[in-house]
Amino acid sequence: MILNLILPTEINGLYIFKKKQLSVSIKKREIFATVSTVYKKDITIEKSIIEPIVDANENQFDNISATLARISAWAGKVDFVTCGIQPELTIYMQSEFPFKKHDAIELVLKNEIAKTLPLNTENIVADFLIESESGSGCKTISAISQKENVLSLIALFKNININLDKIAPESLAIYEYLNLKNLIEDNSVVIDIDQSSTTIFCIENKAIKSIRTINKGHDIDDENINLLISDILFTVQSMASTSTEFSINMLPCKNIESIKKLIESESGKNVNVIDSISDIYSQALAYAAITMIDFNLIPDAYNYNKNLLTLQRFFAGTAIILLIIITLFLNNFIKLYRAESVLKSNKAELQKNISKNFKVKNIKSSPAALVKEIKKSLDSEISLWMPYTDKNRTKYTKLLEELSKIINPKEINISIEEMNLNDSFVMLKGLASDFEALNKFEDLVEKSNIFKMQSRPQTTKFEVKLIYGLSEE
Amino acid sequence: MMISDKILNFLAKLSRKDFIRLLISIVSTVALISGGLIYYFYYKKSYLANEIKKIYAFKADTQKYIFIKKEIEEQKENLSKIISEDPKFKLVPFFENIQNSLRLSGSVESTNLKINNIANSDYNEINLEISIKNINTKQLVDLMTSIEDSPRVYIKNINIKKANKLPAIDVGMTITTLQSKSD
Repeated sequence: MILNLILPTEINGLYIFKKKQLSVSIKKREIFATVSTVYKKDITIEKSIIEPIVDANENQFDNISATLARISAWAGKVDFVTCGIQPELTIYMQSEFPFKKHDAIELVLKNEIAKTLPLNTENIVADFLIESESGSGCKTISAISQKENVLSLIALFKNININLDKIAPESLAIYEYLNLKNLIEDNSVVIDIDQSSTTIFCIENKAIKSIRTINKGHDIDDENINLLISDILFTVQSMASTSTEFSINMLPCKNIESIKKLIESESGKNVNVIDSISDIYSQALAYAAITMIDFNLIPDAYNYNKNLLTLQRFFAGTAIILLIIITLFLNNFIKLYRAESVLKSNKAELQKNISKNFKVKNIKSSPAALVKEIKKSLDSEISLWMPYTDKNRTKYTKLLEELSKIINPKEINISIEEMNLNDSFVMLKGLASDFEALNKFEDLVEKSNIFKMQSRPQTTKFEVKLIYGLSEE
Repeated sequence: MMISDKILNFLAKLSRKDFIRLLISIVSTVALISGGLIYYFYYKKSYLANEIKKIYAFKADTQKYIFIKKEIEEQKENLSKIISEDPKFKLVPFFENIQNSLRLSGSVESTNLKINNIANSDYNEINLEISIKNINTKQLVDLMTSIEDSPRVYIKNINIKKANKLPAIDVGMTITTLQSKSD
């Protein structure tokens, strides 16, 4: 949950990690439920169930809640829950806008609804899908419902401690699903006879022309079935264009065969039953995760501002990141403070030691300057006093002896013209017969324990500096 | 109206685009400040580590110098004793004695005495620059050994050149001693 606040689980409405979804369609006497896995644009249906609502006519809220609880137990742990809003509780409205930006449409949608329908925008919730785009404008289909309907759906789930994540209109979800699966023809009428309502889609040139809902379903007496059929046919006639030939399609329902025959005989047209999908209601709602990505009636019901949602996530994320950063910074502050005090105490100790043992101009000078100053004074003292000791005296006789071993005329053809010796180095000027002699000279110097050649001679007439090595005694 | 409400109202009224812009600028600012602080910490940390390393090295050097200073003090004492044992010691007669004993008088071309005043000390440094012509290496070694045998004289530097008459050599050297300023 906390991770969901910080990290986006979706990009442009598509889930970037596999998520388990429970989609629920609540009918009058039963609840259709499907568990599916959503990953990017893929939906995998895992299992479906039709759970009857016990004593559906009495104390409906508690009975539906109890059924939902059973479904929740059946579904197991899921990442998000989608619920459909029944067709009889939804009004559809098609609009045309001179722009196609989602945010811009969202801002003016309620005004558009208020202009067309006699509804108080305070009490309704609405969302829309962009049906088609043309140039800079677009056509949308909006689903509108009473806020209390949406809130009561949310409350049903809240009652069993489930947070509902998405509410989508069932009819629109079914249309989008059939469209996705290519189960409807370019010009057709789709009739969905539910228990308590009938929804009719009119599709012209593969786009929804109109959606109508009749508040009568198959859950009526046999006497009234004819009335329902005539209502359906009347609505179909009013919706469909007279110039275009429409095919009639039906979704499976109770008494489908008799209803189909009645429609066929009344309309004089063949009726095609789309029966290739079982549990179409909850499956269509499962597919709403990819077919109706931006559609959700919940935020509008809560007057939920998307900015605020993002802001909440942002603040939660920032707070945790800041907490981590502050902890790291504090840790670093403490480390730096400790290091600084170690440095300070060592500096003070060094200054104390120097002032105790040496005379320096300014004890507040930098440690480097202090050490340099005492080294300089010691160097002059060393050169003044130490050559008188056997240990520190430069033994020139030994140096000359070693040099005579290296420059032995029997072994090496080198003639030394001049040599300068002091307490740190020997400077030799000489002449070698050839480069072979020079190389041999270099080898002999290298083998010597006393001298080190500072620079290699480049010509046979050479001048080299030999510094005294460590083994010098 | 509380400030938080005002902020929320302000944010709610923003268009999505402006809101995203605002978020990006806040995130960028936080990232910049954090980046700056991280840079500061790492810079300061490496600086302090380096300084501590240097201080430890200086402390080790100082200990070494304290030891050397003690050695110098001891040497000063020893040398003072040696000097006080023969307060009338002079460098020129010392060299003349050696020169005579080694029969080098004919080869010594010149001698030049230089006195170097040592500040904050009771002693002067006396340098004798000697130029010797046409001697052989045995004579040179004998001369150097004689000088090196004396605890209060040392050879500062030597210059050896091939003489015109081979296999002889020409030698230039500086020998040094300390002499009390009171003498």
